[in-house]
Amino acid sequence: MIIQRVLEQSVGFLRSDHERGTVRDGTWSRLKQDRTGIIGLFIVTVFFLISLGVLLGFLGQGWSAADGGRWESASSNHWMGTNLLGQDIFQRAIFSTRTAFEIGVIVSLLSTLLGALLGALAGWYNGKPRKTWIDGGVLWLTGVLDSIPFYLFVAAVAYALQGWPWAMHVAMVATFWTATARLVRAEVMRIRSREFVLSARTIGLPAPLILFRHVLPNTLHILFVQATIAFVAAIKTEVILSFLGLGVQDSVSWGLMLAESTQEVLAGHFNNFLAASLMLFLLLLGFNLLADALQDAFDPRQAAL
Amino acid sequence: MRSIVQQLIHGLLLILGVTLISFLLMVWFGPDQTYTLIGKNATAAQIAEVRHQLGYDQPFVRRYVDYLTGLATLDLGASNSSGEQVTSILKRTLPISLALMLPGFIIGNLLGMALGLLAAFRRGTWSDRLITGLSVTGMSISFLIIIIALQVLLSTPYGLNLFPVRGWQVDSISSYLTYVTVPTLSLILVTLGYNTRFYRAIFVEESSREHIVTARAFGASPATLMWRHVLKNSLVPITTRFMFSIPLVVISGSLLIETYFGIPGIGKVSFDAITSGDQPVLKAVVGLTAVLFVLIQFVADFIYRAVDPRIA
Amino acid sequence: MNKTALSVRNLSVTLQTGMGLARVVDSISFSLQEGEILGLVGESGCGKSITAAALMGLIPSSAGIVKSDQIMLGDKNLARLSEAGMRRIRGNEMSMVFQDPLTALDPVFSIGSQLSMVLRRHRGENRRQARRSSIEMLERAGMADSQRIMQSYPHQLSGGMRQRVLIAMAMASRPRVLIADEPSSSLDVSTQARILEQFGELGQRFGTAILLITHDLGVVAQVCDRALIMYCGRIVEEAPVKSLYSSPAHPYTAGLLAAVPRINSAGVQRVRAIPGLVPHPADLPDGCHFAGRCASADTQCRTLVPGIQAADGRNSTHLQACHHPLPSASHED
Repeated sequence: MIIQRVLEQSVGFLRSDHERGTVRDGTWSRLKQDRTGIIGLFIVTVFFLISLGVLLGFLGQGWSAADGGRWESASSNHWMGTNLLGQDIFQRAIFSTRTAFEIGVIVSLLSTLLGALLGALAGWYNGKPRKTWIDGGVLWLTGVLDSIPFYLFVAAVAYALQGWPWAMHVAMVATFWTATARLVRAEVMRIRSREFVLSARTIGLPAPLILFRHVLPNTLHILFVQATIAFVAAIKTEVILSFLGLGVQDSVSWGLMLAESTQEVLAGHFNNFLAASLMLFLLLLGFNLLADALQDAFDPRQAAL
Repeated sequence: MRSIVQQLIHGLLLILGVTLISFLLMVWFGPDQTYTLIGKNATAAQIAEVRHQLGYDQPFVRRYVDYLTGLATLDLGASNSSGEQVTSILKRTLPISLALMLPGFIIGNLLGMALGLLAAFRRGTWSDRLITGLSVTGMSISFLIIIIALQVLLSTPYGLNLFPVRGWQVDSISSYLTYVTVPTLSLILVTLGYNTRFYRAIFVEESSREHIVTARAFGASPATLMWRHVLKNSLVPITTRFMFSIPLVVISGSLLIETYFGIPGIGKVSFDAITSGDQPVLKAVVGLTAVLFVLIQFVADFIYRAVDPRIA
Repeated sequence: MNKTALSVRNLSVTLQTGMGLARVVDSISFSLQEGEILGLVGESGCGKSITAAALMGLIPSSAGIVKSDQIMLGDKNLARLSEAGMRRIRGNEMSMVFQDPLTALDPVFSIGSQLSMVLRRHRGENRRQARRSSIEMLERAGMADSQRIMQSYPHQLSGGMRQRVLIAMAMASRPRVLIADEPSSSLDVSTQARILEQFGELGQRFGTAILLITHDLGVVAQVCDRALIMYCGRIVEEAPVKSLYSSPAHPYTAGLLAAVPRINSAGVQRVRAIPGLVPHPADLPDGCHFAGRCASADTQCRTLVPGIQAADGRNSTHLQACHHPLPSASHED
């Protein structure tokens, strides 16, 4: 808006492009003021603590014990009743938090890192004679991976890596990285022509050093947001995979609980469904709110309100 | 936008890439169908015979090239599991999948656009906040949850019990409507959150352009600004979104919905083929999706040119 | 006797900034006569563009508060007009031309359709009439090849052409007042000259009053009849151009003039910048805003806001707002 522009000019707010949209002045304070973002952070932290509790052996340890009757309703023994096999639904729901975080953290970290690396390489070598094939190659790969229908690909990978517990993770990382890579590539191409990069190159710094010390840190805002988005996508994908029978084995997850519940609800047993749905929904909501808040904090001009 | 020739080359490379990777995965690493076909007590000779029939004994490159030629000439063979001709399988299942997924896909996008426009129009007011809040909520609910919940609410005695739980016995408009409603509703609900938020962002971005201020300075009403100026300027990103979400929503979505509701469409067929290692079917599906993607790019490019005068 | 086209009394604009409330326009008053070109001059951030936006009613209530005693356009008080009423005025009785023609026009509509849109809206013409009028307007604005321009899209025209199209659009309904916000700053020098010439003609031919907003004193000297000098939201000097340049009364004006690079017979003069920085609008000092940078500032200047008075020894329409105005430099009055 003309108002915005005039205001920015008049108070000397014209921040250099270098500063806009990175982890810089104002980001932290904006984040602190974003109420929904704080709520999101709170929710995520609570869930994280729960998953830690499971990991350290304090919570949810009775998830596989089949000591109840079939489909018992909620009682003081089993806070949310039992499932078909007499297992405590509440315990299972709690334990699944750890499964969710494990998948979410691994997939989001790896896919974001991979995407950042390949994206940075592609963006850096874009248009450079003799080396531009790196960019072409990465782009081709992203195009190919994006045209393969996602669940077909993931199911196929899961099947190809029969029974290996990390099959699911590999499949997800192999497809999630493309989104990050594309964004990082675009940003790197933008940063490439900035003065500070040009001066680094003029004084003869080697490319990898420039990339890692100067360029990539300026893409952190993209990486943070993408990581949270990938976390959400990973958990959601696990749910579907578990439904298709390709998800976690030897453990329990919300996806597995939901898959179990598909038949149960037709017979009127809703506890399994409700427990898993609620937990899943809350965690996803928390992350989504956090992702939004992060995005708004980094670039307020794109803010929702 | 690139020239036709450049696009063709690009498309070809893409098809090659897709088919190669998919071929690698599904055919090379996929389950071995030999034993499912002839049982465990076969002799070595019989095993060898079947393996030869299924083409397992050929070197990789040979199999890949055969695959490509088969695709190009549309000689797709017959399913290893059922013996039915692949082309007839496709002819049977494709229309079903389209009839199943298209209504939900289109409505989901149109509704998302409408809500996004409304939210952008009333940016900052309570209606905007409501719509944005609902989208975030929608984005946080898993597809599976929506499907199960809708099934319970609409198709069981615990809810309205108006629709069938699964299946696809369509022979008339009314039976079509009975079978397609619950899947369509689930598809709409799942995609609505994402669509609304995306379109809202587009419209907000377009609303803050300089030429909108100019239009206002010449007396344009808010409605004119939105419906004429903002909408038309947003057509390029809208097209991109619409076209490029087809693989994800229509194809992947069909796999899920058909498997869940027991509908005999191409999604279900593909999934069964993956789990049983039915190569001819898989090869055909993969090739099809690759070609589809290239087609989508062509159509999208065409639309860009038609809609934005800046694109030569 | 020229009639007053626009009369502004005590216009103020307060905006919400990251650093608090900012009074970017502080109770300014001025009037614009029919057919005259009034320059509104000042550095970036002095509030001149905001003034224009406020006059047109383009500042949304979520961004800031616009207050005024009255803004008389002919016999209508714009300060009391509803939004619907303002929409009828915009592009009709009062038009605005913006700084950057590159982005001012809608890229997906042809020039012809954009011109026709305005005509159909404000002159009630139908499609065919509007088309014919548009072609007429373009030709009258001196653009040959009007048919081709009608069918062209903004990106196919040069910056200068685009600006001329915008001016033609703005003049379509023979507005009483035309506000031009830095209309030539993004154009090259020769195009700039041509655009400014056009402004000169508009006033004469159609009796349109023009408020020309600029930071460029050269432009003011070229086309304006009178000029207002603005600093930090206040008008500090108002005078006919000749009097202003030959005998500035306010130290700020003198500073601006001194900062213009000049080549004279004695060689190139040193450019003298005004010492100090423009204060942030949310953090303005008491008294005269310019005191911090003024060589003749004293305690009175720092506490009491100078009122607007006639400048001694000069033309009676030469006004200034300073406790210690500069003495008259010319021998005329």
